Amino acid sequence: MIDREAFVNALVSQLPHLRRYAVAITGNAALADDLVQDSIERALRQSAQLRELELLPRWLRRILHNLYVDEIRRRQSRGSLQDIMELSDHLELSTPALDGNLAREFVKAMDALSIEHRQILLLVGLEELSYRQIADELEVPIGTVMSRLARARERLRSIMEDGTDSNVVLAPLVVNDES
Amino acid sequence: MSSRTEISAVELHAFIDGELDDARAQVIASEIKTNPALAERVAEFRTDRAMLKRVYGPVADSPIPADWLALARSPKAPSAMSWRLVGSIAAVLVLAIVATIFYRTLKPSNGDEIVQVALDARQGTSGEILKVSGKPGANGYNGGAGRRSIITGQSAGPGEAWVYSRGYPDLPWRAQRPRSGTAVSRQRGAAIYALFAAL
Repeated sequence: MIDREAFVNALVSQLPHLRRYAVAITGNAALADDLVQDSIERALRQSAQLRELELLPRWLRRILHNLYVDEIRRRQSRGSLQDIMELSDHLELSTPALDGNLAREFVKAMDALSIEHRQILLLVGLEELSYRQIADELEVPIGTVMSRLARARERLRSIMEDGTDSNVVLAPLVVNDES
Repeated sequence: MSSRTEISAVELHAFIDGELDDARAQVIASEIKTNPALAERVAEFRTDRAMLKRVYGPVADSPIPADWLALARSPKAPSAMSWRLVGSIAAVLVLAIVATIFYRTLKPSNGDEIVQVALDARQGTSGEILKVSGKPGANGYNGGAGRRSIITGQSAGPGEAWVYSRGYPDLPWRAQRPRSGTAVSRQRGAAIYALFAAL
C-alpha cells in the first residue's frame, strides 16, 4: 500500500507532464485541462489500485487516455466530433513562435492522425520511453509498437509533405544492391 | 554473388530511436553516409521527432492551476460518484417520484371503479359531468334524472374529496342520493375530474 502523502506528492509532481501529454494528444488546451482535472479525481479515488509509485506516470496517462476516448465517444454519439477535429487552430501554444507556420502545420498534421498514432508518437518522442516501456504501457507486443510507430511517422510525414493522409505501406527500403 | 542490403521502415525508425542493436545500427549508419536520399529521409523523421518536444514541451513549464493542487492535496478523496453520475441519479429519482405520484393520483381506490365511473359518465346517455361543490349530501349531486355525474366537491375530511359514481335516475333530483361514493384525496379527485373532462 502506497503512503497517501507520497502518492499525493508524486501525483502533484506529475501534473505538468500529464498536462503536456493531454494537450499533445487532444490538440486542445481547454479539453486537456478538463481531462487532467478528471484524471486527478479518478487517480485519487483509485489510488489503492496503484502497485508501485514508479508506475504512476504511465498509470496517469492510461487514466487520461481512457477518459479522452470516452469523451470522443460521447461527442461522436452527440454528432459533435467536428469540434475535436477542428481544434488545431485554437491550440494556444505557450512556446514562442520559433517555427512559425511550421509549428502550426505540425500541430494540424498531428491532429489529423488517429489517436493510436498520436499516442505512440508522443510516448516515444515526448515522453521518451523505450519500446519495451511502451509495449508494457500499451500491453502490446514490442513488434506492434515498432510497426505502429513506423506507420505513424510515415503518415505524419505524408501529411506534412502533401497534406494527404493516405494509407502507408511499410515496404522495405532497398538502399543498396551490390554484385 | 550478390549482396543485397535492405532496410525495412520499422528498422529505420528503430535506428532513429536508438533501439537497434549495435551491429545493425552500424550497417544502417554506413548506408546513410552513402545514400543522400536515405540520409534526407532520416533527417526529416528526426526533425519530426524533435518537433514534438519543441511544440508541446513548453506546456509542462506552465504554472499548474491552484485548484488542481488543492484537489490533489484535499484530505478526502473525491466521492466515487462524479457530479454527472449524481445528476443522472437525481434525474431518475425525480422521474420515479413524479411517476409514482401520477400513478397514485390516478390509481382507482377500488379496482378500476373510478376509471370505470369516469367512462360511464362520459359514455352515458347524457354524458354530463358535473362538478359540484359541497359536502356529500349537501346539495346537487346530480344534474337530473338519468344523468351520470362525477362530483368532486369540497373536502369531506382533511385532504379528501368525494367522487360519486351516479345517482338514482328514477328519483327527483333533489331526492337523489349517490348510490356509491368513494373518498379519495383531493389531488386524486382533481386529477380524475380533469381526466374525465378531457375524455
